[in-house]
This record gives sequence, C-alpha cells and structure tokens, in this order.
Amino acid sequence: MIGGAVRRALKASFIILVLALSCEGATGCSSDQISPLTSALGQKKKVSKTDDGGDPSQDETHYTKEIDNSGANFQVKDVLLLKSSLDSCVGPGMTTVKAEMLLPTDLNAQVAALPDGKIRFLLPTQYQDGQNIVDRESGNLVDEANGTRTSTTADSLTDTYLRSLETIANVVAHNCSLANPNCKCATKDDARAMLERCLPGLDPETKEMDEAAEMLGLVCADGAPGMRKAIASMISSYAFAQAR
Amino acid sequence: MTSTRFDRRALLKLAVQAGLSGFALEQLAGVPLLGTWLGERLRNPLVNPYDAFAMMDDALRLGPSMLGVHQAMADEAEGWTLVQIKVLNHVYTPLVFRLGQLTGGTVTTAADVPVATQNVSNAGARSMLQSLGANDVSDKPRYQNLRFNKWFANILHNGTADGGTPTATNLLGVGTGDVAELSADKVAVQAFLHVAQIDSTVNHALRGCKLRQTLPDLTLFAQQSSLIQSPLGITCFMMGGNYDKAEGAIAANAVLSENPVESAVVRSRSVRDYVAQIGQYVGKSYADRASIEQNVIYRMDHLVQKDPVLRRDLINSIAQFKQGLTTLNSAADIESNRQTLDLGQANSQNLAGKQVGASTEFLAQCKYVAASLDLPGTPVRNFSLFVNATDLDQGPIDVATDGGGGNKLVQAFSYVEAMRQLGMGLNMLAKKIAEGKKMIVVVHSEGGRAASMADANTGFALVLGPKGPGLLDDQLYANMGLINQSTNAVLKDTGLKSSAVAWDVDGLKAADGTAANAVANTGDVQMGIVEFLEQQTGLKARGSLSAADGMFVKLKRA
Repeated sequence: MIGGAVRRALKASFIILVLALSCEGATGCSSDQISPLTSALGQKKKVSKTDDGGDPSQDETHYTKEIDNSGANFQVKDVLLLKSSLDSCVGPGMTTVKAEMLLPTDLNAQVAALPDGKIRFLLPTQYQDGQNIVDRESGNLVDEANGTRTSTTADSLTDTYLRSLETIANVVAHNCSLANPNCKCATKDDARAMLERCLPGLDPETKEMDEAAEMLGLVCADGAPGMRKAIASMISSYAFAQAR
Repeated sequence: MTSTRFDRRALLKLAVQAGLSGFALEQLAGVPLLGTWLGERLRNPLVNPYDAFAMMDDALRLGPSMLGVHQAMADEAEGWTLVQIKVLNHVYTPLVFRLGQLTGGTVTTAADVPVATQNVSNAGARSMLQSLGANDVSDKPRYQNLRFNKWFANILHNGTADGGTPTATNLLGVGTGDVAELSADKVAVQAFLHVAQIDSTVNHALRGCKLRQTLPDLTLFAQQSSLIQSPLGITCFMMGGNYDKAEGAIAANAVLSENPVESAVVRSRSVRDYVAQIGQYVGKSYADRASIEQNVIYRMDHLVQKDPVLRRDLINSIAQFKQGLTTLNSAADIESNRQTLDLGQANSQNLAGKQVGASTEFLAQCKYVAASLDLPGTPVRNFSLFVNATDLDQGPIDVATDGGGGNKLVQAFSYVEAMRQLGMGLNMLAKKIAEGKKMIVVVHSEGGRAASMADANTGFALVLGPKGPGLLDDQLYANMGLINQSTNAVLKDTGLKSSAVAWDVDGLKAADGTAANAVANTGDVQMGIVEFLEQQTGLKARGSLSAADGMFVKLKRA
C-alpha cells in the first residue's frame, strides 16, 4: 500500500528529525523528564521493518526525548513529513477537501444530513472543494520548503498546530469508509496494525501501545462514526504530530 | 490603577518584533499562546481585528485562539467590558422620565406638559401604561431621584415586562436567573437629560451616535485606545432588518470609523449568527470531544508525552465553551421568540408593513452579552447593541410603523415595546455588574422626539456601571431648576432643539477638567465613559482632544 519512494523519503526525514531530537543535542533533557513510556522508547532498538526490501538497520537507532509542558521543544512534523505520513497511514488521496465537508454559507441554514454519520465541519469562507487540506493548512504548520511556519518557533508544538492537525484529521476521517482497508481499525489487531503503520516511530511492543490499540479498536468498532472518531482522534494526537 | 499586563496593542507590537526576530511569543510570561495567534492575525490582512465576527471566523478555523485567549487571560486582572446601546429612531423623554414639580413624592404639571400617555392610540394600551405608572414619578426614592417614571423604573428594577416581580409570563422568555432586583449598592444608575445631538443637522442617521463627528464610535475608540481590551474585537448587533435611516447611508447598526461620512468598520449581525460562529468552535469535529478522563486523543497523546498540557487546556476550554454555548443558544432562541400581539400591551413590531407581536430581539442581545461575560477568558468585551424603535413621524407611541417612509424592511418596535425591552435588558446587564463584572453600559439615541412625535433633537442618555468606592454612584444630570416646575418651555417639549439646556448640576467638563457652562451632547456623555475608563485603566485616550471634542461628563463617583 505504501510506495517505496515515499517510504524512503519518510525514512530520510525521520532520521534527520530523530537526530535533531537526540538528548545529546538538546538542553534540559534530564532523566527525570523521561516518562516510563519514553524511557522504553529511549532504549536502543530497531525501527519497525520496512516493506521495500531495503536494509533498515543502518543508522536506525534513536532516542526519544521527553518534552516540557509548553511544547516549545516538541518537534512536530513539517508539511512534507505530514503528507508522507498520511500517505503511509491511510493511503494517498485522503486529504482532499470535498464539497460536502463545507458548512452552508448561512450557518443557520438547514441542510440535509449526510449519510453514515458524516458531518459538515469546514467553514465555507475558508476552504474550497478540491483543496489539499495539508496545503491549505500549511500556513499554520511547518512548511520549510515555502518558508512558512506555525509560529516564530520553527517547529515546536503550538495550539495552532494542534487545531490545524485536527482539521486535517477531520478531512482524512471524512474521506475514510468502512470499505477502505487503510481505515480498518475495528478490532484490536486492526487498530494495532493501523498504529504501527501510522506511528512507525513508536515501539509497537510496549504496554502503552497495546492499551492504545485496544482503546482505538473499541472506539472504531462503533460503525462508520466510530471509525471516523478513532482515526480523527489518532491523527489529531501528539503522537501523530511528533516528528520521529 | 495600573493597566493589566495583557495589552493587545503591545502584543501586536511584540508580534511584529517576534516575526522579525524569531522570538517565541509563546514564551512570554503571562501571555502563553496568544502571541502566536495575534501574530498570525497581524500577518493576515484579510481579517478585521475589530470585528468579533470576522475574528471568530478566523479564530474558529485556527481554534486555539479561543484557548489562547483563555490562557492569556487566566492570570490577568479582569479587564473592563463596554456596552453601548444605540436607540434609534429618537427617544421620547416622557416615556422614561416624569418631569415636573416634585412634592412629597408626587409630580404635578400643568395641562400643557405632556405625560407619557399623551400620544397613545389604543385605549387598552393607555390604560395599561397609566395603571403601571407611566405618568407618575417612581415611588421608589432611588428612581424618584433620577426622575424615572414608575412604569420604566419598575421594569428596570425587576427586569420584567410589567415591572412586577418575575412570573411565568412577564419575563418574555427570559429565564428567572437572567434578571434580579437591581442592586442598590453594587450598580450605579446615572441619567442625563436635555442631551443634544453631536450634529443637529443630521436626522436619525447612524453617525449621530458617534463619539464626535470626526471620531469613531465609542466602542471603536475604546478598543483602539486599549481602554477596552476585547481580544476578539467588537460584537455588533442589529435588531430588525433596518431602521429608518433617514439622512444616513447605513440602514443597520454598525461600528463607524472617524470618517465624517458613514463608514462601517464593523457591521452588525444577529445574535443567532454570532452564536452559530461560536458553535463551530465546539461542535464540528470527528475527533473526540469527550472530557479529559475519557478523551481518546488525550490518551493517544500520552504515547509520547506524559503531560500534554496544550491538549488538556484545549479540551477543558472546549468544555467550558460548550457550557457557555448552552446559554448563548438560548439567547439566539429568545431572538426569534415572538410575542403574541396584544395592542393593549403595545407589544408590537413592524414586519413587512404589518404590526405583529414583537420578538425579544433586544433581550437576546443583552442575554448574549451576559453569557459572553462567563465564557472562559472573556474573549469578547466590547459590544454595540441596537434598539430599533420605530420612526413615529407624528404617530402614536404604542404603534409600530414601517418607519414612516413605507419601508417594509424596517422591523422596529413600538416606542412602548422599545423602552420595555430596554428596561428589561438593562436589568439583565445590571445583574452581571452586581455579580462583579467590570462592565459599563451607556444608552443614548441620535436625537429626541418632540411632543408632536415629530423627529427632533434633544433626548436623554443613561449609564449603568459598578457602584462603590472609586467607582460610580447614582446621579441625575439635568437642569434641576427647570425640571422641578409645573410648566415651562422645556417641560412642554423635551425633544425640541431649544430644550437642550445647560445643567445646573456639576458634570460637564472641558478637556482640562474645569467646569464647562454649555449644553451636553450625546458625545459628551460617551466621553465621560472614556474618562472613567482612563481612570480605571491608567491609560490616556483623550490626549489629543481639545475644545468641543475634549469635553466630557464627569460621571459621579461614589
């Protein structure tokens, strides 16, 4: 499902960002800031296997640094990495804005309900049919290629970034259907597979990941609305936002 | 009193500096997060920073601005809230005040002095007004001192349509928790009589409500000068489709610029439109909106961070907004709540050229203001409200016409209904003041109505604000000698241009604070608000104003 080129690009970005995150290169990274989970993640370990036949073992040891409360040291995915991560997670073409996502121009107007529990959630003054939501939101994200950034802090986690990510997550979730294998998450195993695919930097063998898979599976099992809620919530999370 | 650390203008300035230097505004002590958003707004020329509706539209797309505002405000001393209520077309003094010889709690006047019911067409309405005391001075000493008539005073005091204690029917759909007996020790009421227009050549035009001909609306002046620091700008309401703009260019309420020609900086919307905007913030997402304990996103966040503070605050903020939205939604419902037409109650409104039962559109505005003050961070603190009272043009005060010009778009109240909802709405706002909200309210019109019910020039104004040491006290500003007679030219026709007479009580000041022997106009009363806010905030907003522009009414302090 995931192209090798995309995977390699993702891997390259991932390695660069992991290096930037290493404890040795950061200030204020003390042992008491490392949570049990990230302590586990901080162990030298192999990154999950690749499907493109390449050798993933080279350079793929990394450390994860716990971050402080402000989000100032939380390194987020840039636009390029977000796009490739979403492609890896749910497949290509899932970030397109559709007309049915747009609220009516008159917010008080009565409009027909959408099937499958879908909702309209985008303000028509701000979004258009056919837009790529990541491109549309790039001004609120980190877009190194175009010199835009979320804030004056280049790649830290901000409230703006989080809400923009939620908008992206909503578009992806809206575009998901139960028939789409990439959106399948209604069992613990399916949810675990999704987490491994969408959060490749996290060790799938930890207790926390196991609990997350169980929780996500339970939410996702509630029909199409549950599936969308699970996927939108997962993509909206710090875990997805973080560059690894 | 020192100004609060949160200074919108300073933040905008910092945002510019931050944009140039790469300095992280988020790291500023006391202003977490807000700087990010304000900086972004500054770089977005399409967003009008004075327009709460546009700011919300933008904020809602970015969402966190609300959170940012919330967090930025969390550690701050609460700023002031300003409510300007414009009453167009003109106000009729006898419908609110009972002027004349006051003796032993009773006012007597000669037959040539009109009383409130002088121009009422329906016998039932006349009887209702008489029985509720519209022709009598209030029997409550506090309001008697202000010369309110009993009918208006009781409506103001109890927040009910008939002035009685709240019942199932006299609240017009407002909740019992929205009104309260007007506090004697926490809310100051000031009344201003013989108030002239800022431009006597203009007949009921919106620009007649400006601070000065060459200054903007009070709300904009206060926002620009940071006397009012409303993070999301100015909320501007309209009730009814149009008013009878006569010599104005703009047919609905708007916040006007300093341009002498009517130029809107913030245009008005309905309460429902504003509520719909806020509704987008809390409701439209597939992502989990559950409380922190059950929130899926929060649990997912923990995969990489043990204490996701931003998420926690975001979720909590949304929860608080949801709670506030319930009240705001009820404000929107009140807006469309139409009374059954009862000509005996004069509760009429013009709709498409016919009289119908008045909707409670003004009460909705007041309820929205009250509910907004309870939103986390108080993101909106600057309000322009509108009472659309029909342009009588010699018509009776109990009838809602179509503006006199056959304009079916005018959806104005009868004069009686307008003052009824004004009194009730003021009570709702006073309740918030009594609860400790630092809010000041000013009511005025663009002119007055003559005894003949023709368009005229001289009207009145009202101010409500917190009472107490260093704050305000009750006061009537009038020519006490003239209003305490059985008849004279002013009493015979309070609306005439010649009835704008100088007060014989202390109040009107020149820019330098010395007593001014002149006639006060609506701009002078508004400038009194500015002077009061200057004292409260420590800011100076009138520095460049002199001569007539610099005059102000020194609002009486407790």
